[in-house]
Order: sequence, then C-alpha cells, then structure tokens
Amino acid sequence: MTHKSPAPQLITEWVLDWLRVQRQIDLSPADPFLNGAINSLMLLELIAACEEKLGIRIPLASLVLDDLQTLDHFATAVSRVAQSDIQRTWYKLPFAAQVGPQRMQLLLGLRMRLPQNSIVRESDQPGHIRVGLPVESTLTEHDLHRLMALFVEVSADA
Amino acid sequence: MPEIALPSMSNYQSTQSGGLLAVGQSAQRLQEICRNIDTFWQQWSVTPLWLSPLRLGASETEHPQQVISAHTGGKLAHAACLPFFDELNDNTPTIYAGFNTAHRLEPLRPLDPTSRFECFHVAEVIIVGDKAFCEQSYQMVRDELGTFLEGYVAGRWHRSNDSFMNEMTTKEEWVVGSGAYTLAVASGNDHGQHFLGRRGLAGESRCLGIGIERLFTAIQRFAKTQEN
Repeated sequence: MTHKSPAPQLITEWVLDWLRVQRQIDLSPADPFLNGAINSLMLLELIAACEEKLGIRIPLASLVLDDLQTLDHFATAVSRVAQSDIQRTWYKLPFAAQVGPQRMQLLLGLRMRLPQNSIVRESDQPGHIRVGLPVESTLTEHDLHRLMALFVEVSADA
Repeated sequence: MPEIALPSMSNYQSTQSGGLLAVGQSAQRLQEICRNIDTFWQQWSVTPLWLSPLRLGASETEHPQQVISAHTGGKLAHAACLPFFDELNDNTPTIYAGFNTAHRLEPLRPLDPTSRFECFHVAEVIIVGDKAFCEQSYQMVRDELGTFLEGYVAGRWHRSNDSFMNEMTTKEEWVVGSGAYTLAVASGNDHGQHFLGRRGLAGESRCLGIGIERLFTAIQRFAKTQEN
C-alpha cells in the first residue's frame, strides 16, 4: 500500500469546512480542540468523514492526546500517520425516523460491530448514513439493516 | 544469554487487558478509596446495594456500547444502575448506594489506554422517589460528592452533551484536567420518569457514579503534574 499523506494545511481546511457546514462550529486552528470545540463522539464522526473524503485511513492507535490539543496539532498528526485507504464497497442506508436524535450512538454501535476496517458515518444527505466495507467483507446490505435495527431503542447510561 | 529483568509485582499495575490490574501499593490505594467512599455515603443513611454486573436479558434492545457476552441468564451491564432498575418495584423515596462493575465498548481506548477502560468499577448512588425528593437529594449528594472528590484531586462539575437517552434532561460530569487531557471521574444523570415508567411506577430517578479506576488515574496524573 502506498503512503499518501495530505498536507496539514489541506486537512485543516477540510476540518474547518466540515465543522462549519455539518456542525455549525466556527473555530480557529489554534483553539482547544478535543473537549473544547468537539467532544469524543464528534471526534469519531470527524475522523470517519475525513477518512472517506480524503481517501485515507487514520489509525487511532497512532494518535496521542497531545495530537488533539488544537486543530493544528490534529492536522499535523494526521498528515504524519495517514495511510492510503483500501478498496471498499459503499452503502447509503436510510435512518429509521425514531433514531434520529441518537444518530451518533447508532453510528458508534455499528462501527464497533462491523469489520475492523469499516467506515461508518453520517451521510451529507440528511436522513442517511454511509457504510464503507472492505471489499473482502461478506456482509450484505440486508445484514447492515439488521444490525441497525438492534440500536433503534437505546437505554440510559450512568 | 543475558537475563531479562521482569517487573516487580510488589507495586504492579497494568491496563493491557482493558481493565486495571493492580498489585501491592496500587491495590492498597484502590482499596482505601473504596473504603473511604463506603464510609462517606453512610452520612445519608443509604439503603445498601449489592449490584449484579448482569442485567435481565429479556429485553431485545441493545445499547451501542454494550459488550455482547455469552451469559445465558442476563447481559453485561454497560452502566452500574441498570440491573437495579430492571427489577425495581418500589417508588418509596430512598437513596441507595453500592458498587458495581460496568462493561463498555470503548472505541477511543487506543488514544488513552490508561483512562478509557472496557471494564471498570463504579461507586453508585441511586435516588428514587417523587420529583421534589429526587431534586433535593441529587443536589445534596452532587455537592457533597464534589467536596469529597476535591479531597483527592482538583476538579469541577461540567455539563455533558453525550447522553445516550432522549428523556435524560441532565447529564453532568465531575472532571479533572483541561482540553484534550480532561478526564471525567464521576457522572450524574437525571433519568426523569424513564426507568420508573418502564416498571409502571410513578416518580422519578437519578444516579451518580464515581469511576474508581478513573479517580485512581486522576490522582496519579495530578500528583505527576504537581511534581513537575
């Protein structure tokens, strides 16, 4: 696999745009990032979207907390550790209406139960999610619908 | 062939498994924390709890962070209070307290394996009763819990926005550190009528939990900061 690293400046511009459009968040690249502009669930979403849009993989184990202090830190770290993405089969799946407010949790649950290299993220088209499975995966669209149905009703944490 | 020096087990700790293994001084410190918590909450004349780590398995619902297990009688609880609410049949105004273990999928564990655990111990306070009792008791426990934790490490209550529940009107966390290094040590949750309603009971519930391993980690990190 060839190593294709987007420049930090490109990553910074992409993240600023994603936060502004998808989350209505304006920030400066030097502002506090994790636990400042974004929380941990949003970080997972951001990384998944970044991976699809920039065609890269960002190994979480290659990042440390220092890399999440500001967007500048994050962009520099991602540029350093990013790898070219694998070949995928993409699915666009509709959300069940009742899970709308809990979309982040649905995405988290799906992500944890799909093959390790899967990408699960909110679609830019409202009411849908995007799932990118490695081409080797034997899971079907029907399997994905069944998995999503598991998370329709969620309960409380404490 | 040179001998490989193995780490001493007189003061050993490891989070390789996803939980915390501690031996010797570290374990002694953790046990002291638990004893202190047990003494601390007796001031409220709590009803003692011995919580099951498994919740009733009848429900078909799944939680995104639930760890799927092969247990035949129940499911691993991702939150300490759930096994209690699964079987609650009394809405008498009461403050309950006890320890439990929680099991969670933790996708961001690689970022901070010494504080993001897949299994951890929780000191849990559960408040059940009418709305006024719940509000008053929660405020008292919340404030005194904050003071208790301040005895170990400097922190603050902070409104959280990652609740897994629509009806939960409030989730707050007692956190230490700042920015990317913020560590949530305890949390407080307002369940509203969610759990009692499920059991056909009038009234509300709230809970507060201290993550024992998180508190231990926070104390260690804070001590390092002080030394620096």
